[in-house]
Amino acid sequence: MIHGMIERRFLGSNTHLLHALAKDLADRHRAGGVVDLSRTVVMLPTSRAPRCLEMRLLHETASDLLTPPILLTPASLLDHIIVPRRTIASRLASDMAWLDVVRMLDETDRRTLLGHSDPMSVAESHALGNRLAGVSRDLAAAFMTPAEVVSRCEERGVPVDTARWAIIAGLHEAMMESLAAQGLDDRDAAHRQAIDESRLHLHAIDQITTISADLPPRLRRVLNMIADQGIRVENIVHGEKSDLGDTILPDGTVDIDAWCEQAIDIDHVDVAAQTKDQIAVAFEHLAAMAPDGEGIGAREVRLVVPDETLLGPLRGAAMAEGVPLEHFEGDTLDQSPVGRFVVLLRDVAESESASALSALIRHPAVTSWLLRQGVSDPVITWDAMWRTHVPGPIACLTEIVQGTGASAVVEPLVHLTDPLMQPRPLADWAGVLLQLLTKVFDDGEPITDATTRMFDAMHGVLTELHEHPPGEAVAACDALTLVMRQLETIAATQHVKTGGLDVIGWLDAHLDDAPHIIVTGLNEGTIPAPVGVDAWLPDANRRALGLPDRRAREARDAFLLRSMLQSGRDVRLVCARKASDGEPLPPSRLLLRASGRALAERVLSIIGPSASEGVSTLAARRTIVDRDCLFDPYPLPSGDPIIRSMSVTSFSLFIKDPYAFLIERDARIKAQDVKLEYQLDAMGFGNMLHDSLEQWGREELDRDAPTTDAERIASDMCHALDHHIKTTFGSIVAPGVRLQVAMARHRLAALARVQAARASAGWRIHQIEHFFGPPKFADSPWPIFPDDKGLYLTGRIDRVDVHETHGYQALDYKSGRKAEGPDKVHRTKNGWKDLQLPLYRVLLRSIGIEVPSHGLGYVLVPPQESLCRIAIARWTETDLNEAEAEAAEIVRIVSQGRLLEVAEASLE
Amino acid sequence: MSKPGMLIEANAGCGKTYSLANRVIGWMVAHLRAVGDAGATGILAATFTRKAAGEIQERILSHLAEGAADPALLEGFQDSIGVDPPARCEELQQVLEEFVRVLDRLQISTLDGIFHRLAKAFPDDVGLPEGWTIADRPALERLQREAIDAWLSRCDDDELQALAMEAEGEILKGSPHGSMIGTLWGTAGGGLLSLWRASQHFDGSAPAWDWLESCSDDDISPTAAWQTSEALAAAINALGRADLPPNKDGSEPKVWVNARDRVVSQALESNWRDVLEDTLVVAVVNGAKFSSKNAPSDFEAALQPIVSHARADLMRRARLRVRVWSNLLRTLDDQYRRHQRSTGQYDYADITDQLVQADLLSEVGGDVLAWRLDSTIRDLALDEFQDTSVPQWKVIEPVIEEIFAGEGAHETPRHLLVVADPKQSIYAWRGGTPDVLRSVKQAGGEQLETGELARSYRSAPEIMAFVNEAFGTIDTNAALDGAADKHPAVPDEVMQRAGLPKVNPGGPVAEVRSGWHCPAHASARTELAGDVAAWLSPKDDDAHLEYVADIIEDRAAVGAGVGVLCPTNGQVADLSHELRMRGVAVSEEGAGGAASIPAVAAMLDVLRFASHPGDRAAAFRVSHSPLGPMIGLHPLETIAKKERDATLERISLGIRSRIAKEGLSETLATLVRQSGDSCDARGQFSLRLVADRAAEWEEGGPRDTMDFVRTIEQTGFGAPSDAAVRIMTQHKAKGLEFDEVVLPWLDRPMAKARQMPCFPFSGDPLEPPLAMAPEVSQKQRVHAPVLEAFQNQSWAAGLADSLSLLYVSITRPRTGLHLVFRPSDKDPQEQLTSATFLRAAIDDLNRNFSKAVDEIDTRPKEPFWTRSGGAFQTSGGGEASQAAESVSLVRIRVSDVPTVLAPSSHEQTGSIADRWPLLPGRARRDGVILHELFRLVRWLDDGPVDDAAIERAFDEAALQLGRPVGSDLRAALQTRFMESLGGPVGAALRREMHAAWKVETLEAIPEHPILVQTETGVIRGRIDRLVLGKDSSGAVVRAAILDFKTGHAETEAELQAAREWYQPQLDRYAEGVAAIYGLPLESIDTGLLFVG
Ligand code: SF4
Repeated sequence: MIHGMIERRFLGSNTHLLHALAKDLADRHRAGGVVDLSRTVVMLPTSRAPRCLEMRLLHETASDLLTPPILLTPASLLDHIIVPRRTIASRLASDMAWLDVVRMLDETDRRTLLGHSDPMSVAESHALGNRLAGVSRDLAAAFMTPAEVVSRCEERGVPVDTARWAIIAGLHEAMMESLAAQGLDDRDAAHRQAIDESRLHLHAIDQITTISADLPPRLRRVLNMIADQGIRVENIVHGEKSDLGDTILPDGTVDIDAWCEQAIDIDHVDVAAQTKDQIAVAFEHLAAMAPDGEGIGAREVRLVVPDETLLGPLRGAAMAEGVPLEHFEGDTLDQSPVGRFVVLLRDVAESESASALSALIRHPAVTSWLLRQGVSDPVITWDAMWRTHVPGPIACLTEIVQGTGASAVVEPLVHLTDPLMQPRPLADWAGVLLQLLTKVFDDGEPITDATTRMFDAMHGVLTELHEHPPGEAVAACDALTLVMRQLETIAATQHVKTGGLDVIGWLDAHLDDAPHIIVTGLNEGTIPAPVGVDAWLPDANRRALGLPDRRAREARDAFLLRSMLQSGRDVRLVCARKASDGEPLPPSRLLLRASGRALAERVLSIIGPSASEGVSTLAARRTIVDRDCLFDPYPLPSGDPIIRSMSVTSFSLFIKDPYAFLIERDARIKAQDVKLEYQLDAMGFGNMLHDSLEQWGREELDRDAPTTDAERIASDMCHALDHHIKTTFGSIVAPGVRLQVAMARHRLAALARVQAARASAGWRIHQIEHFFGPPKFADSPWPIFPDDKGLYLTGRIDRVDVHETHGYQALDYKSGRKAEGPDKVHRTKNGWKDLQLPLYRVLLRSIGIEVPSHGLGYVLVPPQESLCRIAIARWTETDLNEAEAEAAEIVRIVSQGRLLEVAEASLE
Repeated sequence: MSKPGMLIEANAGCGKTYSLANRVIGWMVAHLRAVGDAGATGILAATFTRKAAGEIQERILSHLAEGAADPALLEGFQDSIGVDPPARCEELQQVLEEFVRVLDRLQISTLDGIFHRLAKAFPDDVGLPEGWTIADRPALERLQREAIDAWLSRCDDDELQALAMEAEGEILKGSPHGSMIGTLWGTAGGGLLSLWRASQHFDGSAPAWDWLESCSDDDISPTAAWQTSEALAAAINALGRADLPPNKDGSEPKVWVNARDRVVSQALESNWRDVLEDTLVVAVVNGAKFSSKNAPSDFEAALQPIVSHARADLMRRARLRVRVWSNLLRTLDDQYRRHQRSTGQYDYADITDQLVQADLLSEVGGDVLAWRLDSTIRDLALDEFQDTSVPQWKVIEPVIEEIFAGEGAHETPRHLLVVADPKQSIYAWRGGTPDVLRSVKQAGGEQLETGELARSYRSAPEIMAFVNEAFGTIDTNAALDGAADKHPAVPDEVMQRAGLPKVNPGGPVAEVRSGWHCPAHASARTELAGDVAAWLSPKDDDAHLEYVADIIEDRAAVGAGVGVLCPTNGQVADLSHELRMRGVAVSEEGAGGAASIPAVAAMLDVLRFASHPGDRAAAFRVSHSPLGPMIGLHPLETIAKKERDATLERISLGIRSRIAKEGLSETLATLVRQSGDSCDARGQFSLRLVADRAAEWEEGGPRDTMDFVRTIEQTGFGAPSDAAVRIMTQHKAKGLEFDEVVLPWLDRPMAKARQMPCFPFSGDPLEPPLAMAPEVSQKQRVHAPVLEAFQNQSWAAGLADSLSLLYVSITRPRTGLHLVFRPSDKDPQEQLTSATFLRAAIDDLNRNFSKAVDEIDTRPKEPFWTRSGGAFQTSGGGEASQAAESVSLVRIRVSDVPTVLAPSSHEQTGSIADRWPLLPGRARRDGVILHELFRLVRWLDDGPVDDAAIERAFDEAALQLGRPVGSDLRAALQTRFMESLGGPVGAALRREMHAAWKVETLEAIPEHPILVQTETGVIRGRIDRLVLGKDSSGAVVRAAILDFKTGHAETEAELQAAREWYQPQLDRYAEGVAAIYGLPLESIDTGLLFVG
């Protein structure tokens, strides 16, 4: 052992790395039946490897008394050995500090840094803070601060954005000052200082063993220092010294130059037709591994899936073929129900809009909470409220729904989110959030393991938040965004063994020890991991600064692939020929580590004309048996439809589409669509006009003489409209609705002129919005049509006017764009298609008002003012009798139980 | 290669990709010779789709490998590689070695992809906010709505009122959001907003929108003038009384009387639009006969002032419309950009626009580019160049200019290769224009060599002959002549008066014809026997579908790979369905119709219902589908009314909970699996696609489920497979080839002007338009003839697109082309469709067509015309769809991996706040420190703990806490520690405590890590204090496990509660210790120590 240096230790090839390591550790620390590793640190790069090592250690020490080693990741070593001088800022605290300094950037600096001097949005400032935090963490791992970037690059003759880095360095400085002012130390800076001062707390450690092909500079430095203090530090190399010696540096990491060139022998690559088909190829292998049909043990095989987009299809395919899968990592806490709740709260806080509440109420925990509060049908009620009121800001919501049924759901929701509406010190948000979580998630049910894990993690974040030093008030959306960002880094599910097929990532692959391993994703862009474009630190700068650059990654991955191939296991390599959209995908350049003719041949074996185009496809594996389709787009209800009354407007639907009539009118179904829009739908717009005209009409009715002054009428109508707006939409009207209100006003003005002329011609209003319907709401008894065996006839007649000589006219307001007259709407050359107006006559007859045949019409209130008019139908008694007969026939079909049959026939 | 630039115009199937790949190889070989490396990263190759880009890259790679491995193959490439002396195998080997080493740095991509990378590398220069991304459609639509809302919010009441009053009917069509989003942004690009952006000059002005204002009324609409109300009244009066042209018997013709009365009443109602559109008025103004009679001069004179006045009104409306739109677009564009900036969400077209505005590639030097991108742009190869849009061209123009100027060439000359087929330009609606070719020619001048590729390596000679016949006679095609008659040019003086340049005197058809060059097509595949067949199918739609299906089924049975190309996605879906019903395997490659597959519609209904429990329409359908039972929903009509809403609410909540816990894709996958038995193959296949889509969609993080529903509804999907029959839209067929092609719908009109509220008129397609005019009806355009020029341009663009689409379609087959005609009453002169175009082009086709139509009822089912007359042969290249090999199902045995239990695993009730309290920081810290201090004590009997150890314990605590333990705190806690050692905790740390064990020796191990395999699993963890009692042989016979707990248990009840809570954990440890030392569980004590 070279004293004071990291020692590389070759554990040989043709063996599995963790097996060899466990054996090595056990053998070296075995003394009299005791294997005591309590003073040995083993650093492993992934979260899965430690579990594997433990299992192997148990295996190796089955007859010994084992004290396990201290297992760390490279990232956690420093926290384990550096005693803080000041409180180390939590990740959250430093994110907050970055956010603070980012927001203080002046215009000039913003321009230099971002290329624009506009004020930053919430999203942009968080994104920028995030990026700065990330960059400074990366630099710290390379033992550097932003202030050193320029000089280091210049030393190495690489261009660098001097102005930008000056600003970043300044921001970094300011961030640290801001932390210092709160009594906090930046974690990276504290570590660096401790390293510079050799302040390492090593009394409990005798040995450090790591497996790392590419030690970051800071870690390398620390390990060397530790070695210097006489502690054994070794970096495990998977392979033979004789074989790899020259290409592995003395500290056990790969020589980048060598590994960017190193040839890799590859016997065979399986080429799947498309990305997803790699799963099929893997399944083929699995099937082939157990030709006796016995199946293969899950522990025997490992599936490597570096391409995360493949995980979804894999889950689906595995489910389809009954292949049990081990739960694999992937989801982070921000995607869990708790995380989702925090996101929705943040949206509420940021937009303060009812639409954000609309999303919140659909969160299952929130719906359940409302139900527990005794709110019945919360989401249904909310959606119904939305349709009428199209609410804008939350602030107006309570006011709008006051006194309506919707307040039962709106009030608790507004109350729940109320604490988000004012800023408070960051630490205080922990309590607020915990309270909200408790309220919503405490459902009195037993807490499951999954929930426990979720809240354990959440609690960790809240504790960090809670311990944030006192400071200025922070808006909820900032606080919640910071919380979210922490949640994004926490895995939602911990390793839970189910015993199914294990799916692992690329970095775990060479540490794994199953006898068979299938490696997918060997395409360019997946392996080696792609390095995206980086405007601040282009690849040249990364290299100059010792940050991981594309060559470093390529060298590492080349080494990993080769050690995997030489581990003596059965390794299958799989790549895809094409992406799912048919785009050809080149193979990973790691598969093409050859030269001359051999290279040409290898290329052709993968993509050449003789290379197979379609190794088994997933589609072919997923057997599909054509069966009868039991999905019926137009199902018929069972039993007899319940329809006790018919509204005069529903006849047209019956004539047009009996099936739609059936499912809309059958009281058991009452089918209707629900959509959330940010404006009134056609019906809502019509209602707005109607309601205003109703109110105006009632006032007009009370007057002694009809108003004939157009301007006066217009102002009265608008007044009525204002009233409607105030009560329905509150003081702040959603923008879309505001425009619709303006349209309504414009239409009413046109109508006012028509109305004035009509009044002058001697017409006066006799009735307004007279309602025929259930006794509770109706203005008169509910008529039955056509006779005792018929059905109740429901209807609301917008207006009945009367004239000394012409008698009565029953009128309906129509706000449609086309301004079609009643005849066009009611009849085609084949007969009646709507019966509304003729049935008005029937309704009115029941209260003794006889409307003449030429007394039915529309008040057209279309967009185009010149088309605004009163259009009276030119029907004769005969026409109307025919219409009534038609209506009577429809009622008979419904009342005699023939509707189902008619509807069914209409579907043919 | 002597000149730096090369422009190749290629016919379809002539090996564009092949030539381009080899040309790029040639550049690399030349570079290798000049400087010793291939310079692969300095080549930028761009094309239109990602697929095509991948193909170019793959082709380069495979040609390099083939050429490197096989001199004979290399020989075949030499011509197109084009280096002198010819390239050698060794050189190709060297190039290949370098090429594969930089696979990740190659720049072979779509223009969008390249621009995306540029914008990522230069966000500050381009002016994009930190963290910007390309957003999906639902996100963009939300942004668009918000922009509209923001714009509306900024309008004050008066403005809104004016907008509503003047323009409601004109532009808003009643719906502020729905129709506006479509009009402004278009469904797939190409909305008004992009027109607005295209009309902006560099200084931000948009003079085209002022054109109308700059003209006087009668420049546009002759004689337009407002009349006084008296004059108007007099004219109307006069018109009412004017003599009408008499019938032979001297009476007034009824038609005339009615028409006159109509016009009079329209005028009285000031309904000027109707006046202008009235057929009588139009006839009189045109000097034409109305009901076969000319208007008498009085009548005409009376009408004159009315028409003038109505025209003035037309001008008022026209101006208003343009003004309203330009104001709206100006503010809205601004608002939208702001919104994009604040959310960081963009689409590709926005990125291109930003790059144009930044003029990035002329602003940024080559060195900087090389540094930021880690690759340079030395040589440029541009494929499918005819589809490039003007903004895209503007972005890359500087590089091309540099190449021609010889700038940036150090050791080696720079190269440009442009490959295009203007005949295949089918993306005009997305801004693609073959006019960019002209720019390349201009930029290149002498420096640009041009070439043609006319020999097809795809299609048989008969197919090529047919293409020549169809498109070679375009100048004399009678169907086009007919269209030309209907779309005459706007006369020069009309244009001049309006201040616009003259147009092609032959009108839009001549314009299109002049842009269409069809070099003779030849075939290199003389070994292939090809056939073109024309079929006559019945007029009835259903019968037509069956007829077409028969043809396809027949061809598939012969073993041909068939491409069926349809105009619309709906037709793709219909035909696919028809064929599947017959048991023909098809690959449906449409983009629509997701909702027309009942199983998919039901699945989407589940999601709709999950979001909106009140959506009883969805609930009803789901409740009657196989999915109903799976989510616990009984037929809706069977649920009692008073329970209905509560039930729906509960079930909907259940689905949402599942989605929240398991994720959307897993929830769907489960439903899909369960419903597999309930649907046909298409349904099963599509359901799986939906689940897969959900998995992809979830990658973008959790979002509103309704966004997923919208995504599926909007983008839809077909059911692509590897079947031999592939059905797709004509647009999708670009770049593909098939053994045989069937074109089932040839009878759609070839050109329609687009529906837009405003139209541009351009002098030069590469420049911003000169003028913008409102869309007005054809009848009104009679009164403002210059507007016809705007309409004509739009119409011509549509015609050019359709011709290209037809060209693309008929050049796809290798051996067989089937054209399906339908009887039509119109003769080719009457209506312009692909069918009439082809009939007009080929005489005997037309003759046979007419004959066949006459005999339609008696005709046998065979082509009425063929090109070769021979029986169809297959190329043998595309195998008939083979039955998929039977696949063995995988069986994985679940291994009996021991469960790993962390000893703290619990399942219990309790309030969240109680279980996860936020302790005051101080208390938590104190607990941790005390914990560490107590761990120091082995036996209290052995005397006090030494100071160094205490210091280490404080350090240990500091490590855990991430904060130093200050001296005050140390002192305070040390005191607390000492004090409590006097109490019960202290007692527990004495040997005395274990006296009852009566063992030989006692060993205390603080903080003992354990890892052990037991029957129930692996146990791992740390025991705070383990005490072992050993007998005289040294064997462990007793053990105690003590856990230090922070806090106090004040009362017996609290103590009890704590014990209950922690006991499972202690029991697990006990189990572990029992396994390690082989002890019976009874020999192990467990306990809690509360350390304050
Ligand atoms: S077989 Fe491998 S993965 Fe499984 S427990 Fe052992 S070491 Fe871990």
